[in-house]
Amino acid sequence: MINLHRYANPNQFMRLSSPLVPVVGFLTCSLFPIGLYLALFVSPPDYEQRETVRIMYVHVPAAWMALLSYTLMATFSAVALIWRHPLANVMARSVAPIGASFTLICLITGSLWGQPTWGTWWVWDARLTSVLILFFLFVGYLVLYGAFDDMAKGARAAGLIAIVGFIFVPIIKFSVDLLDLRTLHQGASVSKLSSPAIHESMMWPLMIMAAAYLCYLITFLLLGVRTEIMAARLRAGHRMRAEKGVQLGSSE
Amino acid sequence: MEALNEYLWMGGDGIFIWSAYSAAAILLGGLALVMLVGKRSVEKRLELLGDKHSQTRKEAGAHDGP
Repeated sequence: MINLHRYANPNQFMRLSSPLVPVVGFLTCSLFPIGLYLALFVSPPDYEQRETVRIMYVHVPAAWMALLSYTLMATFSAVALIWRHPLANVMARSVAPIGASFTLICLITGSLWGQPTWGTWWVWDARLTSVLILFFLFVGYLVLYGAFDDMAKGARAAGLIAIVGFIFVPIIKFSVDLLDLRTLHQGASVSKLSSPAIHESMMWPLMIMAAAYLCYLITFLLLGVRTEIMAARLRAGHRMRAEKGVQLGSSE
Repeated sequence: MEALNEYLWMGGDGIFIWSAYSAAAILLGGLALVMLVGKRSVEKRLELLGDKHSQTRKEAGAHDGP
């Protein structure tokens, strides 16, 4: 059995992630232009939504990545609270700003898609409201994490928020499909893998954009964790220097 | 030129489509920039701390010497 704790050691993480970041970064930089070209120039307009369907290629992957980011944040927070894993809090903290950005993109592009399609920028229905709450949960997590002088206390309080807020992930996912809630939002088109309700001329650009968003998430998650580890070393270095200064001062 | 204008107009929906793509680009680009600048800043400070540390050790060595 693989010993995950061995790989989650900060030194091991720095060593293993070092060659990974440029590879995933290169994939991100390659997939975005391909996806954008297919989305803006190759994919056809929809018979009902006309050209506005092109907003789908930035909106839908952002929604998927927002849910994935929150799931990761809640999972890392649970691992940190239960097993007190040294890297889990750092990973949860690093995924939060990325997830908040994806959620904000989802909200803004959704609003810009809603106006020409539904005739309104916003409705307080189940899907839209739960995504807005998801955004507030990301922001709340980040604010709470930095609100305490003792970082461990902040991480614990924010971790609890992340775990409790995880209830919104299935609510968002199923708010238009299973739950009988009033909504203007359309149902799932892609997740029905046996017979997706989307033509392959639109499916390919959507999948490539989703892959680009996923590579972006991985790249900046790794980069964020590396930065947090370096920042922790910096704090430890400053603490050591300060302690040495105090010792020298007292010996003199 | 007319073809380009027509393409950007997108049948009257261009304002919504280009605004959505711009918002996504600004947010993803902005976050990437902030994270890269933050990483570079921490790396620089860590290098500086390392330099100071080795300087302190050299000075301590000079004091300990004969």
